Amino acid sequence: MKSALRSTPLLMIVPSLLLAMFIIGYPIIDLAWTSLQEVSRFGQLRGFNGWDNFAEVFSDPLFYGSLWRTVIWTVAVVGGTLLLSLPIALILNDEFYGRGLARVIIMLPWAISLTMTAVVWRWGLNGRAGLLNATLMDLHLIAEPVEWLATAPMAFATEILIGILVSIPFTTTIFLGGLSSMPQDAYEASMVDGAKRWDQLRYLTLPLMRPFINIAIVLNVIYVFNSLPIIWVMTEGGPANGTDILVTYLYKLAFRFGQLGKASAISLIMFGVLLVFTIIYVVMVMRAEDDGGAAGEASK
Amino acid sequence: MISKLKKTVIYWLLLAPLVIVILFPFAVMFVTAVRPREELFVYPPRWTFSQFRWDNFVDMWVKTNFGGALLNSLYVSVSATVLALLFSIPAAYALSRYRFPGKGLYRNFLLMTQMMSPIVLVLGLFRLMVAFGLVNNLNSLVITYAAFNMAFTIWMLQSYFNTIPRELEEAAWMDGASHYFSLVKIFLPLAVPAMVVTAIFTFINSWNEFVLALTMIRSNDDFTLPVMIFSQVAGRYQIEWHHVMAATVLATVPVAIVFSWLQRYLIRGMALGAVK
Amino acid sequence: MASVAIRGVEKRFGAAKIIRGVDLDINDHEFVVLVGPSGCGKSTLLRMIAGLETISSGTITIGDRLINDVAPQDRDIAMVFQSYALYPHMSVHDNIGFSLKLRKKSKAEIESSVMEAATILNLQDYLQRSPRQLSGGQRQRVAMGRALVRNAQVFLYDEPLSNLDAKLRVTMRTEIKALHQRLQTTSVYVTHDQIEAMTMADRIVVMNAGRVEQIGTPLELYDTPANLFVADFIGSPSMNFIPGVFERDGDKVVVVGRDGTRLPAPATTRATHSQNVVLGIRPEHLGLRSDGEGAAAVVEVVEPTGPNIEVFASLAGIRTCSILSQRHPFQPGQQIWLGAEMDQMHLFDAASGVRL
Repeated sequence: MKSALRSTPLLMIVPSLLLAMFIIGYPIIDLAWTSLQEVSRFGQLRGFNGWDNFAEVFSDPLFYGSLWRTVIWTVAVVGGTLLLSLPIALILNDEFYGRGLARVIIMLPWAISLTMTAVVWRWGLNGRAGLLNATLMDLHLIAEPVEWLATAPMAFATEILIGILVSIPFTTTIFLGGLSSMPQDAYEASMVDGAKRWDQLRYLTLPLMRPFINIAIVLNVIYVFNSLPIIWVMTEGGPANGTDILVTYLYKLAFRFGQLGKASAISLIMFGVLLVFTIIYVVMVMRAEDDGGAAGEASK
Repeated sequence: MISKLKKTVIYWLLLAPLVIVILFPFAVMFVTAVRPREELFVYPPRWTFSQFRWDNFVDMWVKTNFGGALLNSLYVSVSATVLALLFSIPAAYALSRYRFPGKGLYRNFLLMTQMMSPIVLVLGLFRLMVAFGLVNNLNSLVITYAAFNMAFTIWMLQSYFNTIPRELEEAAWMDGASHYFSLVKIFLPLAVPAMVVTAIFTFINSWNEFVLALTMIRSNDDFTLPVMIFSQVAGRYQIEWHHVMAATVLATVPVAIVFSWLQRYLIRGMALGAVK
Repeated sequence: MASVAIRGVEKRFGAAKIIRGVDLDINDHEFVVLVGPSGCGKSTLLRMIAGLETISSGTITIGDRLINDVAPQDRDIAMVFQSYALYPHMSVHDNIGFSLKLRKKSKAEIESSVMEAATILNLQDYLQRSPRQLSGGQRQRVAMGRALVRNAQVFLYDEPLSNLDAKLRVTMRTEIKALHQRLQTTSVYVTHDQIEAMTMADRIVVMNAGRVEQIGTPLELYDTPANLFVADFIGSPSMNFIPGVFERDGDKVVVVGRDGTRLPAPATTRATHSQNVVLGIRPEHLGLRSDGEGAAAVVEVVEPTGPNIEVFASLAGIRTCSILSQRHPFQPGQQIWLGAEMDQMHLFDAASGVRL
């Protein structure tokens, strides 16, 4: 009976483990394997060519352009999201009339697939008949319709703003979760000690929110770095690769240009970058758990 | 102390710009979906239009094969959700209730898989599905969605399972219930709300997925909704925007309503330890 | 009903030893209380009897059945949990009757057993409620009822009263004791509250750091604690301890306190001259003496409790507590004289803590 009990938990995790290994583990190995080989357009492996694929990637100006834009995209979207989400979470955590409705509205973009959001915005931003132009012209802010997506810098900036918009709900949710776990008695104590709302924010809320902010940064970096639909649907990386980031460039290489060796090399490079962030995340989670665990043990 | 009324006014004023930007696409969606085709491209562009054309929805349904895509999306999302839960419930139970060797390792592995997005692996996944002959087969999406959602579902379920006191099962054992019986009669009934919430989130995630569906599915008949709608926009000279928006309305509004209703559970889940 | 025999039982989690070799015989019909500070292993030991923790080494027998490898379901044991562990989705009636249903008892049989338990516990009016609708005391009773209907060989209680308020705890304490006197089921009861242990137990097992410090009836533990730990743990307020050096001066024996105060000590043959010892006197035994007798002490704080006053005074450089039944109007700083009867003093070895 003892040994049966001992193997029960292992039996319970094995199915999930196998599925994850198969769907997530295997492609990584396959990509690593492929990246070292010459590959035909149709996916046939034609033997090892050493680091040729990587060399090709690193001599490709489009790769550097995409890499650079990926950095801008990630930093701008994550930074903008955090700057907006924290005050929003603070507002939504406070009592006011219509808070329920406000929460629902702020969370709405999360409910809708990025693809649909991007499709609607592409139409809303249409240079000729877009309703954004209609609104701005009604308000006499512009005299002529603006071609929002026609030039790369303008298109990219627009895409970043939409990226921020769709990242706010998730980030706000993390912050709301954090705020709801704030120790109420500490706030009461601080009021007795004479802290004003601003002092509470500065000396209690922000320091206590630190771990949640850290997690939000890392998770958002990972999600935004990986996000394809907005740019893909709105401009497909164009015009003239001017809005390409690594994921869109990778997707084009793999499924448009059939440069599979190069694409798998880029996949692997991105995997490496992701791995670094993931390890940061895992370490952060484990540290948070150690703290929580220690507190739990002490209270026993 | 600021009065609640004053706070309400200030807060709504602060939130107003964001609320407008969030609601803008919904307005665009509705206004375009019911607009006569002739009034799509008018100069200067304007919000108003001459009459409500509800027929747009009917035309769209026929022309875009919306029904087929809807069924495909339903099939994929439901199957992926069921599969993910079947694999996740025992795993979450094991994580919540047992100590076992390799537990820490397994949890870190899950965290890693949560971070791996489909896009980075998409080429490898595609080659995998080619090898198994599953390209252009909706089941390729079922399996991959289940796998990519599993980390989230296990995480979510475990944090809820942890809130169900272990003593309840222990008490049942002392009362003479077998492990299996206490699981079925004591644990699972209490875990139902958690499982429903987790299932709905998994469903929405699958419903909204784009990259894998775009890659694995090649024929129009097998398109899921996001890919179908994208195909109405991508690489076309003439885009029937009123149809696209009508399709978007139908594909998003029901999901958005369910999600709005459930979002507080997600916040609670985060507070319970999905983030911790 | 049955006896329980625990032989050389150990519990290890990896390298950590939670239980370090416990031997304990619990007789049929006996009410044994395991008591000790938190983390001493008392709950773990109880859960090992229940079968909820595996036994790393040693044996546990119930009646004459070795139960090391018997599943909790098959041990014929009932348990009352600290959190009560009521099934939230079942009514009070179904909670109490659950174990009988599992045993495939007939409807009528379940009905009569549940009613009987409910009557004993005064729960007749609450049978259709859900646990959520009950007060803390009522939940506690339902948990008891669940154990009652079982007619199990052994009852286990894991700190069942610690979630109740102080007043209710005293009431339930008496009820549980009365119940045991009526049913006579062998019971093992875990608590960290020594008053609960003293009032309820036939025998107390004092545990510390995974070991048994002493086993005995409440009064045995109170009168002759085997070591400093037990002496300190049992009794409230706890025993006064005055460290010093044992000196034999012909017939007279004294303990010389750190500040040089010479205190009379019980004559014992087991202490040697100039041995470091600890003199222990319970507060209720450290009484007032007329001036010049006993030892001089300076009053620091006086706390009236109603029936008594507790006088905290500095004696031989140590803050001692005396419980006096007369309401003396002592002032802080006042000098008083305190002393105790020889047979009410305890002497312990300072190094090992063992009673001398």
